[in-house]
Amino acid sequence: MQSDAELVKAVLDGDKAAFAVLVKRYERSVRATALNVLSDYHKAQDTAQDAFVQAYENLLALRKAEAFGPWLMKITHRCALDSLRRKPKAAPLDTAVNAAIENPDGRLNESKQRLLAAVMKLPKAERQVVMLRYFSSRSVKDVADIAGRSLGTVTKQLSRAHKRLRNILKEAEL
Amino acid sequence: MTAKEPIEEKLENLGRAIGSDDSLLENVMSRIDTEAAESHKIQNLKNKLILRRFIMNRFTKLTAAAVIIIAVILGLNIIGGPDMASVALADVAKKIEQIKTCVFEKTTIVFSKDNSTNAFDSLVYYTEAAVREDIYDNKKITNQVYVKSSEGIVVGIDHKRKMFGKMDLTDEDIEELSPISPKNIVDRILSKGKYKKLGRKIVDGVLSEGFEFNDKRAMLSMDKDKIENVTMRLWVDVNTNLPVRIEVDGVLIDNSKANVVMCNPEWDVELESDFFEPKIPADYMNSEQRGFIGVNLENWPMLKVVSGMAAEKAGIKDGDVVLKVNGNSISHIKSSADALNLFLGKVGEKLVLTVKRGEQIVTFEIERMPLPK
Repeated sequence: MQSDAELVKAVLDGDKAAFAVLVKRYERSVRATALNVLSDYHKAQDTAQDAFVQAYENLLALRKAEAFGPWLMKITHRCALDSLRRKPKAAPLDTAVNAAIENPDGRLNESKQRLLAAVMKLPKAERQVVMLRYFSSRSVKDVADIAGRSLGTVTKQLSRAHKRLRNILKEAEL
Repeated sequence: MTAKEPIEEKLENLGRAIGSDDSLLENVMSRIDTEAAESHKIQNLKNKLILRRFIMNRFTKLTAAAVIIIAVILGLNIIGGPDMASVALADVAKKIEQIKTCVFEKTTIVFSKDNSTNAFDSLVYYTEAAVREDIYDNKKITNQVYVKSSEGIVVGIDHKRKMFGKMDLTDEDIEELSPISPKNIVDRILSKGKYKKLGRKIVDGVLSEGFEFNDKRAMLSMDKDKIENVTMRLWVDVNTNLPVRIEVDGVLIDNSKANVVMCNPEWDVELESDFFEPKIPADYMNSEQRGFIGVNLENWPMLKVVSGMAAEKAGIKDGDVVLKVNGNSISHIKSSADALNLFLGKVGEKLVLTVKRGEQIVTFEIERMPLPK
């Protein structure tokens, strides 16, 4: 499993296929980040595209290649805010991608939205591992390789994130 | 095998609901082909960056950021133009005049003309005589900028690199920055202020009224001829008449852009008198004393030499792989950014570099030199 840092270096050396690996790797994390801001699956899908393209174009500005994941989420968040400011597009969007979303209006149900909002409140290192582990269904070992951290660190980060998420959700219920 | 916690199951379900979509990859790669590859941006930028990273003057960048802060603060007054009929704006101008200090959160994104992006979050402390900006990364202060307009100096501190820099403001800068008193600014701008009303909306949880105006003077201390346009949006709390959020978009004629958002202000915060005195630890190096050996660390630990600099003169060659710096193993240094810290030193100080060249292991002693003008 290549780390993010290795893939970023490969992209900078002209290997475009390496960027495709990063897109696949972070697809769900990016969409989740956008979805949390926009609450709309279709807009989140458009924003995910914008975020990846911007990340590619600005890859040289990334000072620490190993920080690609959190950096990409920051770009995504900004793209999502931009999308909020923009007027809605007139043309209807492709609805075929909507299969996974339960509600026909392209929104997550309330409890999932709450959980997603809680994930977004996690410190960025924990957020990254949670997204890779659960949204992208990666093994803990894979997450460690991707993020360039030790297995022990990732395990601890996941455990801390679980605790934090439980607390955030509990607070929201009070 | 450990049983899954309920929270893990919930997260997995959420992941499934977010779903995946093959068309995303296809669309992204197709856009990259048409939008990015067209101009060979990546490769061109990489070539530029090698030089830029090497000579980057961080303090200049930070100073520019600080200047934007001041510009925006002053911008609060620009809206007090000839049309003072709006009660809200007249009251805002009055309120601001009474404010002695304020603290706010700020996000700055600078899109350079070479298409690179530099973004950072900071806390800004403002008084009439001085501005302090603390830039954060992961809850730690990494850089600080102090602008003391009353003394005509800017001080930048880079805590990661343990460096600092001082810069005198030019007479022109001082002229631009000295009348930080809101009243002076209102007098100066009064004759030409024009603005557009944006109506009311909830901003950061507060019912606010928005105003937008375009005025190059919002970007102070920069060459006005180089500014294409500046748009500033001010959102004012309809109850307190104090600003809630300020957004500034500046575009220069070379297409570089700056986007600044300031929010969560706190007004008339008590600040200790020495709060605006830069505290520079004794072991920090003045940027003017910094020496260079002239190697590019992009492909760390492999080196590329910069022509005409000390490393080349000492015998380092492209492709040499660093094994030790000053006798210390570098196996724990994984990124070029971290590696750079090992190379920092003053002009005249020596650096001992042990490198692997083919099967050979060679040690060089290199004296740091100033960057050529």
